[in-house]
Amino acid sequence: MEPILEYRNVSKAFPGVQALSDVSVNFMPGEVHALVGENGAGKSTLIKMLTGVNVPDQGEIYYNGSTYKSFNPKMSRKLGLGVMYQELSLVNELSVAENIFLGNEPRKNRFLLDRKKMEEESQRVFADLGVNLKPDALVGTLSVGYQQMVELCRAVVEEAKVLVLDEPTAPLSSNEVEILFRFIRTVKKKGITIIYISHRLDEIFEITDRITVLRDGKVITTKNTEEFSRDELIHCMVGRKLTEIYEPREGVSGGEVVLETRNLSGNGVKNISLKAYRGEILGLGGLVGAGRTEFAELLYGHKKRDSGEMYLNGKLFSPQNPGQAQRAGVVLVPEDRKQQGLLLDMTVKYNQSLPIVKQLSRYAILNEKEETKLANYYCDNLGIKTPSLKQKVKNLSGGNQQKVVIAKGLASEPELIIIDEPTRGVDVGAKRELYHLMNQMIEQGKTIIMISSDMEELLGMSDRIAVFCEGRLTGTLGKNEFDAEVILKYASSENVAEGETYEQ
Amino acid sequence: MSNEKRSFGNLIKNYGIVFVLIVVILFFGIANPSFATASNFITILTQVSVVCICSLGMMFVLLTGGIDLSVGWIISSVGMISAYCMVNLQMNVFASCLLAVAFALLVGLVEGLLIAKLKIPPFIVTMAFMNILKGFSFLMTSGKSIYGIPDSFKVIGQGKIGEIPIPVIIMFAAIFITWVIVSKTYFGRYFYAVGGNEQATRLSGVNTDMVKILTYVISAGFACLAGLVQMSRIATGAPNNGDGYEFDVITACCLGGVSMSGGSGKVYQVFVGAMIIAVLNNGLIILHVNTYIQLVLKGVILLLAVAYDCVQKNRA
Ligand SMILES: Nc1ncnc2c1ncn2[C@@H]1O[C@H](COP(=O)(O)OP(=O)(O)OP(=O)(O)O)[C@@H](O)[C@H]1O
Ligand SMILES: [Mg+2]
Repeated sequence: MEPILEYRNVSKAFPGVQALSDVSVNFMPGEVHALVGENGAGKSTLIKMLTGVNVPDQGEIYYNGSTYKSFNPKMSRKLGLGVMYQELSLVNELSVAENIFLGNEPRKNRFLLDRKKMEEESQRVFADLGVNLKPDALVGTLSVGYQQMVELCRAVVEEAKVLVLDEPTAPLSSNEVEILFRFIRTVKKKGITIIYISHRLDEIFEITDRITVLRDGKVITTKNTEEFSRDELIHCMVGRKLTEIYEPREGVSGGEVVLETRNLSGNGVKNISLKAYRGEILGLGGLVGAGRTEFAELLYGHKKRDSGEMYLNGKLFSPQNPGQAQRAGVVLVPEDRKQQGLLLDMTVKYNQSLPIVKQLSRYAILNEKEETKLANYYCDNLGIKTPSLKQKVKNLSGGNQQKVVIAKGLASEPELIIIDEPTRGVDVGAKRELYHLMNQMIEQGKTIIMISSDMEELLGMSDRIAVFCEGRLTGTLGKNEFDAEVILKYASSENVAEGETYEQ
Repeated sequence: MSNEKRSFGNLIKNYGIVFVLIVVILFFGIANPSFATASNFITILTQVSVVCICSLGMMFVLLTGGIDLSVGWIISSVGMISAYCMVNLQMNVFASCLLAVAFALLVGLVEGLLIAKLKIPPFIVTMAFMNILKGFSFLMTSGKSIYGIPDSFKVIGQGKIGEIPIPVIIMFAAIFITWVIVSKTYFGRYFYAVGGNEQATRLSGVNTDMVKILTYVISAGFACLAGLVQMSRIATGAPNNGDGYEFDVITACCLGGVSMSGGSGKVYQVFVGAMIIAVLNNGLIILHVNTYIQLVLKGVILLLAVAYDCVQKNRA
């Protein structure tokens, strides 16, 4: 069989980084082909060439019978290259069908839109692909998973031959991942090629046929998925052997209560009573949208509570804004790094020091030497890959941006740190570093509340797990009771009907 | 990074607006020999001082993504208040100025509170204040100008230290202070951060409302300083002293390269932007260009300068 898409000796440099060097890789019709590698390995750079965001310095790209030096967005749409970035490109105010046909709407005549045909056509596509979507629903009201599905259907309607998914499952709940996988299997049968980028290895092994490993902008190997073992794949990605990701740790749940909430309600959560003990990692489990982030926003004073109390170290705690929470020793590392975490147009150093510039100053004058020292410390410790501290954050790879958000959270050395999805988009090696760092913090007697939708991470890192569903606390598990099945049960809505919330 | 090229092209790209200023100066220098004299430069600097001081305040507001349309009428009302106190009420010069400053800061504070706490768009709030202050300035004396300003106050606008007029010294002092605030202090960071991403800044523990309020207070403060200098220069408290200044001030910032959407802008850019306007004004008058042609030329040059800057930015 002929490849549908092939990179031939492609190179690309940015100031200070050789993002890709001499990359050759091919993609067959109807295969699901994984691109894996550490943060900053060049995966996104590679696929961004298909829409002309990046133009190769050298080399060429063969696609469907012709070779190209570069693409542009219009051209790639017409050619059938569907690229889905982490940021979706949908119009929230329009319906599902309108979004799918945006730019090539069926018309009754020159001027009038044929809405009926548009909706019928969408319905047909959904039935064909086994997708459960209503054509007239507003896109803004859908969950992220379904929004993604709309975007994918749009690509299929436009007769894409290649679909590129850059970390599609990062914002999805496990149900939604299942739906996505079903979709992938269906379109694959139609001969569409899927390029799949992810840091979640279990997904890679489940859904892909072949794997290409990138490291420092070079192709290390391309092999069929079944020829890899998990350890081997990790070895290829990071270039060394990794010991166990989750270090064993003495659980110290019980003892001194650091944070307590009593019947806390507001911001979409109802009646939460919860305790976090000094020196533990309290995992918050549940589906995406279960209210964990909203709960965290209350703790951090980002949103106002309606009723209930919070106690920090036994004293009443009611932060009016994040600044107050931070001064009391509580920090939130937000989930949405682009909207809530980063100043994208500012430098790495600037971002990292923002929460503590005041502490780094004397007589209001900022000590830039100290600032640089600190930024260097976190770059080394978290392995943030950047050509310099003066690099703008928007030019970093996704995983490295995440590390900058975490560095920001650690900078003020909080007593209690709430981390919302700590390892979203972070590679295995860095994950391990991050977990190590979290363990160190625990050893120093700090407390971590970790919101995670990654079951493995939740079970591996937590000392206790509190499960949320539809804004309520539906169960709390001690370490000896950890069980994925039980957590899923608590997380699913049947439990809420009883309306019970309890704390063990 | 060490391998970032320090080529001529990059220099132009980063400091394009400085080159525009140089080109404009060279043009007038060649066109008329009486332009490029030391005494004319001092005149230009004196003329630019009021706009420049006021623009420095505006920069803070623009950095956070806001806008302040009320500065022109702050200049007027501050002039009227201080003149009224000095002349009509025979108050001490220093006390009169202090009263004017207090008034301006209060106006800035109220604007800031309305914008940050009630989330009314800055455009609306400051436009409303533009009218309020305009009415206020005229009401004070039923529209009449106040003459007979004491000599001790005239020093601010008309005095000299050696060869250098005091307004010029005040301007450079204001530039220096602004530079220290935005690039040396920790809270200077906050202005850029709020303009860059307000939510992320708030979540970093910064009191973003306070930062925004502060920018309007600072802007009003600088406008007040500009207003006192202005009133002293012409030694008259006239209600329309500052009419239209907001346009020159915003143009100066914009021309210099301060982003209208917040997050970027430097002190030197504000100075250069204000200078371009002042040099154009001065040069065209020296060349005896017809006033209406002056307007057209100024508009065109402004568009060209901004377009050039935009093209450079888009390419980056
Ligand atoms: N526009 C840009 N300007 C400068 N450097 C860039 C730019 N885009 C990417 N880079 C750099 O190129 C390298 C590769 O980045 P890329 O985004 O392809 O990584 P990635 O493999 O997708 O990583 P991740 O898993 O973290 O998403 C990184 O070092 C990144 O900092
Ligand atoms: Mg990426």
